[in-house]
Amino acid sequence: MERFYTFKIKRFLPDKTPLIRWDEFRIKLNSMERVLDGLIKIKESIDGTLTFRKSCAHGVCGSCAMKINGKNRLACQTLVKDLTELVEIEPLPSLPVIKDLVVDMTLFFEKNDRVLPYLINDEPPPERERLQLPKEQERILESITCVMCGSCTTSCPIFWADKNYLGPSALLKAYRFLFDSRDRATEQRLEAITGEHGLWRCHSVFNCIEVCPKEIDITKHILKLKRFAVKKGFTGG
Amino acid sequence: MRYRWSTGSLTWLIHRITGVILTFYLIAHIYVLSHLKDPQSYNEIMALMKNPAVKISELILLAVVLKHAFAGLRITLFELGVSTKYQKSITYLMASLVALLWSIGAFYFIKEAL
Amino acid sequence: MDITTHYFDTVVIGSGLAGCRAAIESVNYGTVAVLSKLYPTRSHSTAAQGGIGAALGNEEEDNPEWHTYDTVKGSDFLGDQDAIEIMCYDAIPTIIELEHMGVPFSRTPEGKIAQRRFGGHTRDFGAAPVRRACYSADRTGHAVLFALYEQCQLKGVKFFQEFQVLDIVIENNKVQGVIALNIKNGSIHVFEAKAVIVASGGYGKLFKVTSNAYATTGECLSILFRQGIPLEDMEFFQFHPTGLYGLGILITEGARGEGGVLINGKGERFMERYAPTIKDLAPRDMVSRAILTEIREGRGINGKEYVYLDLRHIDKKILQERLPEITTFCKIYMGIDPSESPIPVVPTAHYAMGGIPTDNDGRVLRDVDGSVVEGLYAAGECACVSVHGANRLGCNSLLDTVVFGRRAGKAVGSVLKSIERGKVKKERIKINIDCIEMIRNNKGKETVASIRKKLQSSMMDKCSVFRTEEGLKELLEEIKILKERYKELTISDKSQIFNTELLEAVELGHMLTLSEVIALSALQRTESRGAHYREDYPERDDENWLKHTFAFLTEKDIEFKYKPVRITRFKLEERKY
Repeated sequence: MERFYTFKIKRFLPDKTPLIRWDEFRIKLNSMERVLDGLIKIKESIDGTLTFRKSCAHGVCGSCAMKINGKNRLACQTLVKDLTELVEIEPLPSLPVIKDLVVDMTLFFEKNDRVLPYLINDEPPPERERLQLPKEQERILESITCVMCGSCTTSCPIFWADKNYLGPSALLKAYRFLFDSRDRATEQRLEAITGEHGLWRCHSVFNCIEVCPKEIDITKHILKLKRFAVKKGFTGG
Repeated sequence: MRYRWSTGSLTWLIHRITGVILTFYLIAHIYVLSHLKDPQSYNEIMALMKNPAVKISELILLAVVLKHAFAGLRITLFELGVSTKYQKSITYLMASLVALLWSIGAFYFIKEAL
Repeated sequence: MDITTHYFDTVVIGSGLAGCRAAIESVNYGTVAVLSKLYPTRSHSTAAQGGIGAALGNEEEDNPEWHTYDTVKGSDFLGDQDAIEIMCYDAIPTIIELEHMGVPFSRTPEGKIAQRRFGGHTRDFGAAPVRRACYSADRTGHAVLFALYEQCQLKGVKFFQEFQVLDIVIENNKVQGVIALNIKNGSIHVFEAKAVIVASGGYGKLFKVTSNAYATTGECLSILFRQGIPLEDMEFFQFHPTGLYGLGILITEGARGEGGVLINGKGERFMERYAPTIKDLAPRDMVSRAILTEIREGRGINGKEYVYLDLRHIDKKILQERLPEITTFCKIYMGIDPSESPIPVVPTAHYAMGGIPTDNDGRVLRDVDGSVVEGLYAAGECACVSVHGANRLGCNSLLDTVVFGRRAGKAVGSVLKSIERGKVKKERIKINIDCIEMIRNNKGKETVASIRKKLQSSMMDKCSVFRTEEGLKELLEEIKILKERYKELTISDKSQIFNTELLEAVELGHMLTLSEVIALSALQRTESRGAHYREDYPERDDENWLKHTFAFLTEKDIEFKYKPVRITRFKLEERKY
């Protein structure tokens, strides 16, 4: 079943005046198509200058996160039939815009780097795999599905106010390693996340959960981190 | 910036606003208390308290206190380990409790006033 | 024009599994830059679902020799057996190493790496399916890619994100460096290096229906090809049997590994007829052909062009634990719950067996005699070692990327001391800038989208699972016309900043080149082997065609040479399952 949709897109063309404008495009899409399909159709047949990121187109790479009808989501995972006839599209909030729907994610990825995002274990490795019981692994199963699309951090009011705040995504990454039974850098990592702009700034607003395309209960993980940090005596910051 | 509100973010915002209101109230409260030095000023202030505008403000104050307290309680529950799965239902439960307690309070307020 | 020059010992192109694995190794010997046209973790390796093969024997008895045999047989005997043996024996330490790097593999009750069944992997030389694929639910690629990227960060590999490679400079038979465009601001960056490892991935976007990402356009292969480097076995392109109907999104073979079955419009489990021993777990080329044959003969679901993948009999808990991702895909994109309704599937373009010819250490070959280009390496899907021959087995691609990524990295390490850093000449940079400017300012009437759409649908119609001489000749004619039309290309975005339209135009040029190579390679191979099925030559012809195709670009046209297959252990046999 095909239907007409109006895509109202916030444009940002760095070498044009005015810098910011809203464009409306009317396109026909069928009930199986996604917002990303709509954007591609516009780029291919109406306005070739429309710019957005895309890659896998089925919600595993995290390229096409953007604000659709006032809420962050992946364009490739949002079916148009679930939206209103007027679809309002903006770039992810609170990050510098490069062009149209493309934002500069540097700030977002830098946060991740601050939590020592790699398995640290200096013990000599055994000949075979390090054993990890299913119930030990269960603690990190949800956190490893993160695709780093940036939807959560840019939906967080704390991040809007404090650009230095680690944010849900980086805290989730810290959780992924702190609760991995094979990791040994507990103190180091807790030290890294409990600063002034770290863990304790989370006020359980739950915006991150609302937007996560992988449906990760991020706040749950952050609350667990808080309890863990208190238990280990990392209450400063 | 426009961003769609959700149960969590709305509750968070109300928690902040009520907090700010309560801070100002506390200042006013201490100011008033500090003026209760002798029977005369006591009677003057008590007479002022009978003013309907003050009565209505007190009703609002009750709502603010309840809302703020329960929002704090809600967050504390999560921090103590209550599942965030029930985030929304707990919010609604807290809101209903606030409404209930406020109605009871308001009932006695009005009864006394009449 | 703003030009910045960087100096690195090694430059890796591509930040998928092969690229990251190679970088981790080569950073032990010198400085490493990784160029990627996406953010590293967006690389398409992240979409790999089912598993990575290694005969660990954690779940049941297994050994690398069986793995070698399966891979040789899966390749329809076109794979080079010495390379396959290296891969299958190296698999075990490589997987253990990945685990030590932090990959969260799913576990057995005792805490060992869990393994599942996969297409074409058998015990005892074909007796029955074996549990060989190590997995992390159905997000194995994602799990491995993140761990490798994280290790790269730890080891100080420098990443250049959103850099599009324009040219890989080879002069005097030595690699000199790489010219790239910073997508964010349109500036040109030159990377002069001692060694370059190409790990740019596949080119599934040549086809209309594909499981591949928009980024998989294969420009690096074409860049090398245009400089006279051959491309090997390009006629072999794998179609994955189970792509979501209408979208091509991959539904992992692991779904059948966990017990899923294919059924046709009559409700029959038709794979029983095509592969009586291992049925639905037959290699992908056979299953894809079987599905399309069923559809052609009118046994699609309600006569339509798809069959069902039925997972309804699988325990809901297993679906949730081991196949959560595809369950979500079905819910989001098809609105169905696989535990209650069967999934409509059709074959989807998935993996390129062919590519840049390399030896067993990733050195790029410049001719069939085994001579190499100094300092140039390739690994992963873009390379052709060849371990996959005419058809790749499921869960061997991730293995290929890490085993040969690692080997290429090590090989680079061993020569860094003895080679000089390359120099990229000014004229060469200028040619590339001119080329970009020409596309930017060209005033024609053709758009990228119109040419690309036509190319993708022609490739799908005439060069996918079934091929004929007539169809391929028509396709070549069409490509010729499209190449003419490409000269009339115009783009509306003239800006320097994040000009994706310009990049798509560049990619399209390379896609046209690659398509031509694939079609010509397919036309000249007059036999059917593995994924290459010629309806006019339906039999395998070992007498004439047990050899690798090398396509060269010469002054006149594309020419072919042949390289014998290295057969060491397993004799040719009829491929039956």
